[in-house]
Amino acid sequence: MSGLLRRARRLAMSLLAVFSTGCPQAALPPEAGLDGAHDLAILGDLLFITATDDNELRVVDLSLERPNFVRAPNPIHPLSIPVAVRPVELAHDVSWTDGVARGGHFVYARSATGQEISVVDSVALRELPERVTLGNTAGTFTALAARREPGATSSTLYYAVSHGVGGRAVGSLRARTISLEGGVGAEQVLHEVECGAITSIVVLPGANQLAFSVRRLPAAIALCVTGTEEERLAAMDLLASQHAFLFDTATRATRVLDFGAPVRRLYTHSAYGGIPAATRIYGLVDEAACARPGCQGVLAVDHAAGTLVQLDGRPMRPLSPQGPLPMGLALGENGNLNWGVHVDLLGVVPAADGLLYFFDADALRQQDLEPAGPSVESVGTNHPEAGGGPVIHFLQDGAVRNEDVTVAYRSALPGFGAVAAPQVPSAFVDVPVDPEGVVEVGDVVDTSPECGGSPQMPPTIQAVERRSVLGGRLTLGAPVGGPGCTLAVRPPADGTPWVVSGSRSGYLGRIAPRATEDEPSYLLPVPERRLAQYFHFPPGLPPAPEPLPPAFHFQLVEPEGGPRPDHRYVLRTRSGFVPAAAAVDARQGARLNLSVAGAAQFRPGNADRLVVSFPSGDVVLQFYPREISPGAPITRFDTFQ
Amino acid sequence: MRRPTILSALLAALFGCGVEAPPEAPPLDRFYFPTGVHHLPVAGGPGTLLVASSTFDRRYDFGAVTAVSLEGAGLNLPDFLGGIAPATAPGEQLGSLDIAPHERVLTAPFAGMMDATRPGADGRVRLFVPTRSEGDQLFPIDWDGEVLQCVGGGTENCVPHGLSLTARGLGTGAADEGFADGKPRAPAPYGVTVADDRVWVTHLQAADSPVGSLRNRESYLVTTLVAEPELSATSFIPIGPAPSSAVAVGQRYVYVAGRNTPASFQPLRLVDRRDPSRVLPTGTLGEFRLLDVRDIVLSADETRAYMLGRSPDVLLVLSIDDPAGDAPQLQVVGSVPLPEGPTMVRVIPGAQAQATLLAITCTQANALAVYDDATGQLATIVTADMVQQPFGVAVQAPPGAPGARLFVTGFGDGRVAVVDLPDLASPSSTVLRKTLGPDQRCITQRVRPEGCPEVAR
Repeated sequence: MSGLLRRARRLAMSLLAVFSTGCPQAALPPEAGLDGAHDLAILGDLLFITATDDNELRVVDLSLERPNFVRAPNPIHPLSIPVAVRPVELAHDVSWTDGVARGGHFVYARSATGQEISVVDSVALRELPERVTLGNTAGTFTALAARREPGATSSTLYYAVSHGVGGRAVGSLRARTISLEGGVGAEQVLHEVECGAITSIVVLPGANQLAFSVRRLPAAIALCVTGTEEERLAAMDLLASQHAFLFDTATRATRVLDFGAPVRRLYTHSAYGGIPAATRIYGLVDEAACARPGCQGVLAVDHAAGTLVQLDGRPMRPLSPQGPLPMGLALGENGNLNWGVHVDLLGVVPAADGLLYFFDADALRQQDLEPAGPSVESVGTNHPEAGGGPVIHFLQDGAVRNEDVTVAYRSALPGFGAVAAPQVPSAFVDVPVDPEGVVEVGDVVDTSPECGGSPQMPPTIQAVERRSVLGGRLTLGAPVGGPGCTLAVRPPADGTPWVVSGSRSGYLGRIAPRATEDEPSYLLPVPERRLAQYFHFPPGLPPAPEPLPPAFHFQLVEPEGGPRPDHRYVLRTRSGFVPAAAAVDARQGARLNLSVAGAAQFRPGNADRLVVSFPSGDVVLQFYPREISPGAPITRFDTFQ
Repeated sequence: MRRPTILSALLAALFGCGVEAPPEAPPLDRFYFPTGVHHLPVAGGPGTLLVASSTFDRRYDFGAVTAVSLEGAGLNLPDFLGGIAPATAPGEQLGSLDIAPHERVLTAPFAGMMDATRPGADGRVRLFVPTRSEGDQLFPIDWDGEVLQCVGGGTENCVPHGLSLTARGLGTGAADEGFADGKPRAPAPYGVTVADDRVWVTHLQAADSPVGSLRNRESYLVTTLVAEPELSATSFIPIGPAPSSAVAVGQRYVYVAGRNTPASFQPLRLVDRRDPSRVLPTGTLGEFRLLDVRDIVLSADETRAYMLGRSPDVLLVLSIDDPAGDAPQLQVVGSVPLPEGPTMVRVIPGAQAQATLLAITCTQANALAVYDDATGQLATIVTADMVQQPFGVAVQAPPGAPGARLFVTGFGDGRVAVVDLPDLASPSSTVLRKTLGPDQRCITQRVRPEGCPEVAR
């Protein structure tokens, strides 16, 4: 909506509020005309919302019987708090008291320009005169969090700056003291991480405890490590395995939090059900840095051990919406839904499809709303006249995904269909993905016409090696290369020439056909790749260390007359897993454009109230979780827009 | 023989009608509602800028493509772009452009995006400019370093030589096999990408059949050879009812970004270049419920696609697994809020960058945003002194140079902003170096902005 229209509408609504009641304090809620409802923060009874496109914050008083925008000095208008350009991220002081994370005095707003942080007095409801800036130094603010000790008169703002030093990316964790009297204090550099950027900070109980997450893309790592080739490869693997840290602001000591995957944002919980506060630290998986299929959702590490939480002896699986991008996470202590089971810690992920996904954040499990198990919806082939094809014997609940599984005769292996060959012919070809477990010795290499050589004598794979997080190396039986030369790796015609891959799972394995259904069938994927295939541990799995059952147990019947060169079968599989989720009733939300959800937060100390932003419609809704039944439309909510 | 002419003149003078005014070209001193833009390097110099003027208000009868010598515009080749001198002082404005007639050709109005071939050894390039006015024409135009020429003939008016993307489907062009009942045709051509030996064009409205029935809607990806730009029925690749806004070309697939219409919307489809009849829907995009998509680009290694979405205004980051395989896997792996009205995105190449950098125009917010994949956030947003309604963006980033220069067309004020990123390793540091061209609002708006020249009364 254009600014002019928006302001006209806002004024009209304000005037309507006045004239319809004859009193500026009337119950008819004004429209603030939120524009850019990306993030929110709750301090006590006040809800602060970004109006990013208007460079301001709006405030809702949640303590009212009908929660409403706080009025401006001229009460026909809702209050606006002008802040730095395009506020996109909010944080507030955290004060840990008796195991509960309470608010403090200030709200902080990070500008999307990356150059400024506004400090807002949550009592006076105005911005402090001085902003936190980078001064004349280059860089970008990338994260923020704050602590205020109970009874203290000042707060400590922690923030991260990303900047380049000598061509290397550096993420810097810094701090400033903030107080009403002294304003913004001097900057302290607490810690620096190499080859990456700090993407989130969380304040933990204990005066000096923080946790932060780091984004390290493989390309940035490759640019900044030095030394011999062996040293560089080792350094790359080490850096790529470290995504989150505990940090002691007094000793400056760090300890790795091993989520087993990159995480982009960290969260923790207050005390609940006899569990001390911050026993676990939760991370939202950084899908962009992860770069492998199915990498999405919420993971949790044990704070004390620093390791991924185990469920029945196996590493937990990410708690995921199974597709839509998670936009945030809220944890509600002793919160609950209307779903017939009690949970001590309720987790909510607002997602990019506008739904709220719920899970038991204590047991680290999602509820499956669909009683039926996995199934094959259809089987197709590009050569129906030849018959044959896969015969399914068993599908494993929790491992079969919603995807197209292709069984293709001698197709290029996934990820190895157009490998760039060296500019100068060589028997060693470096590849940007890990080839181990996919490419096998004896596989055949097809070369593009630019490579020259004899297509009648394609080279074969002699050795396969993983070198680092950046990929591996294939050793060929003959040198290949040249400008524009690309390679495709395929299984040989003998052995197991059919390649099985899923549109979400990636490479699953390879098989050979059988003449009849009486012959042995296949278990895919192979045992060492099975854990990654699981997105959910259903009841009845064999206890660890027993191997997990495969996703598929099937047989491939030889097509009549043998396979054609491009022969393939496609199975459309359905997981039968419907994660517990809910959306606003379509009719009630029809005018709100709730297509994409944003940030979410429970009311502190009151997990019966959940506030969620929807940037698609520039609206914030307050929900009543005990009235929400997963799978059913949400009919009761308060609207702020 | 002279009598009728004199009579006609007399009649015209008496009644004020009967003789049409000659078509009027836009003036040579300015861009006019500029949209597409492309930068061409010139050895040792700051290069040449090619700008499409869309003449959106039809004050003039033509659109135009203009070549501007950046050296003539007062820019140098600074050290961060591989030159030896420090950059010229920022903040300067170049009012009048003083374009020579041979540096401009006329097109139809309503130009969209623009793309060009890589310069040959002789510096020649071929440009392609789609336009959405009558005829729905695609204009191939040659630039030899000094003169713009219409492909097909002429150095001034390219309209007679433009390729219509609808005429044959409507039966108003030359009869051709494969055209019937209004199809195939591509109304409102908008996006264009040149890759290898082919040009790929999108269009914003679906074709109906019979024409005007609003039934049997079909949209197309239009492609032809760069060297011989001709259209036949096979140039139109059917992609389903939903039209598209932009394309990016990968090793094997053409990534087609959808445009929302009341009838249908598909955010992203993949067309197999080996078998163009194979159009892969990417259902995964349905999981991020955008209302529209405006542009798409790929990372250099094709492991990422970046799409501009509207409502909410976001940059969507997609991972691409196995981009050359039979079944590439795409997943939305990130979303970044953008200033209002994201319109065009271009990759800023550079070995010094830690990860992919993007330049994004945000038309309604009058902003240029720079995204850094290393942090997953915007590195900066340029708003101060930015041109009005930024639309197109072109990138100058010589191989090995530590910095880059961006050229941003201002659809709302007719100017082009020159924005420098002296250090790609610190993409938050930007300098708005100069604006090129006079402010068109001096002639388009009743309330004229400050700084307009006096008008004789």
